[in-house]
Amino acid sequence: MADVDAGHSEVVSDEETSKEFMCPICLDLLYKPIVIACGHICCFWCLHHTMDSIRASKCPMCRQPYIYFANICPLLHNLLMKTNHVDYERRGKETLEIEKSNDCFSSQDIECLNSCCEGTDENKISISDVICSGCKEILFRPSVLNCGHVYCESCMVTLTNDKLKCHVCESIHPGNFPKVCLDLDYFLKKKFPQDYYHRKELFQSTKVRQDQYLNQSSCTSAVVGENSKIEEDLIQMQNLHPCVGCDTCGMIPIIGKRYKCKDCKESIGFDMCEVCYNSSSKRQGRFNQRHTPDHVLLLENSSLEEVPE
Amino acid sequence: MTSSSSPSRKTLSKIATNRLQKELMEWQLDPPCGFTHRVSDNLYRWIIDVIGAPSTLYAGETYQLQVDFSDHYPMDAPQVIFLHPAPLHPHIYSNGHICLDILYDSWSPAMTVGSVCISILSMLSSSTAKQRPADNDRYVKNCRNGRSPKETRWWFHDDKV
Repeated sequence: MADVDAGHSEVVSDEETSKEFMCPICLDLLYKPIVIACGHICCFWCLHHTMDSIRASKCPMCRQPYIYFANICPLLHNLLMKTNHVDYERRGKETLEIEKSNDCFSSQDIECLNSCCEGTDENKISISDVICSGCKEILFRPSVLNCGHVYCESCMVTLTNDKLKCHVCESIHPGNFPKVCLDLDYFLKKKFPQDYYHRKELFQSTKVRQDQYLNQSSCTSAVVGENSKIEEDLIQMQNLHPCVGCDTCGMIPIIGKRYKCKDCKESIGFDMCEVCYNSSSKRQGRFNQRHTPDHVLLLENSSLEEVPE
Repeated sequence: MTSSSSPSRKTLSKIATNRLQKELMEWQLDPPCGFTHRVSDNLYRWIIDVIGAPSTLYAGETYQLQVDFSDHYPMDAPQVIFLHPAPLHPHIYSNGHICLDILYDSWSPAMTVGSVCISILSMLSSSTAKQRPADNDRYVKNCRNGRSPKETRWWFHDDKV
């Protein structure tokens, strides 16, 4: 793009972006975006409001069942802050106001990818804002893990030995490969066409890798299998804790053992599922709880086990 | 996390109001073809004129939809009914209630008034006979106390019309 008309085109592309990154629930610019395993994006609160607390939730767009309330995606958060600065700040203020009145907050410390962005042109996004956490190149067909970190679909293959583990935060991604986030993919294609297509060509020429990837990507059918397993688990209603979610992996409702923090004072509480309890993860709560590793977690029996259905 | 601290009524109505204002604005900019929203002050009740699509059984006929939103919109579906006289259709009862899954069990918060309107028009357009549902009289009698169609346990059996 020529520098001469950069001023004008910037305005146009900004408007397009706000249409592009619109939350399907509030119909406003996404705020604190979360990417569901099926690849669709929602605001933190919008997604939370639409989730089912007694059985598997369904994606508002594609109805694919899911049970993990994923982490806010820091890459998208930064991207939106830069591309839609004014609107994003407005959304932040509006959201904080509601949070204050309810005394319940969304995660406040989202890691900053480029903390040095002050002083530079906020509207300018560069390749460094959209790189893969694995290959460190521009994202190609990006997928977002439950922890919120973004990888190329093809790089995700390199993460897996037995379980999908994020290189950045070492969190285990529950379930199978997440699907490509098509909204982000479209944005990359449009914003960085040359780099994107360069990546695409490289990807296609690397035959071995592609084959490897194809082998792995037979997971689509596995995903379906997993979902029916989710449903099965939930239908059984055994060890299911209605209206309680794990603050570490985001599983809502918790299936299996539930550990409740007795030291967190926030009314929303702090809970963990068995897997996260045993993994000694240091992830903070989804709702900005001031949970620390020295807090005591107690096994809590709130499941439906005794209630005959 | 527990959802006992679910959003307050005030928060919910703010969400609903913001969303309805956005939908109304979008509607005014680009209304779905064949529909006219009647201007009113009530954001929570929309009256919409529907014109039957050309070369269908309802071509040129005009009907009115009444759409009522609760504070839980868009998490909860709006209540959508035809005002009297309701079109003659195998899935539309004479009291205006509409047997359409997306208005009840299959509602998704990503749907909008516009997308619901288009679904209803599509349902009208695919009709091959102008007739009431077989159980019309029984159903309408049961609803005489002013029951909302959202309280009905619908059984969706026909995916052709």
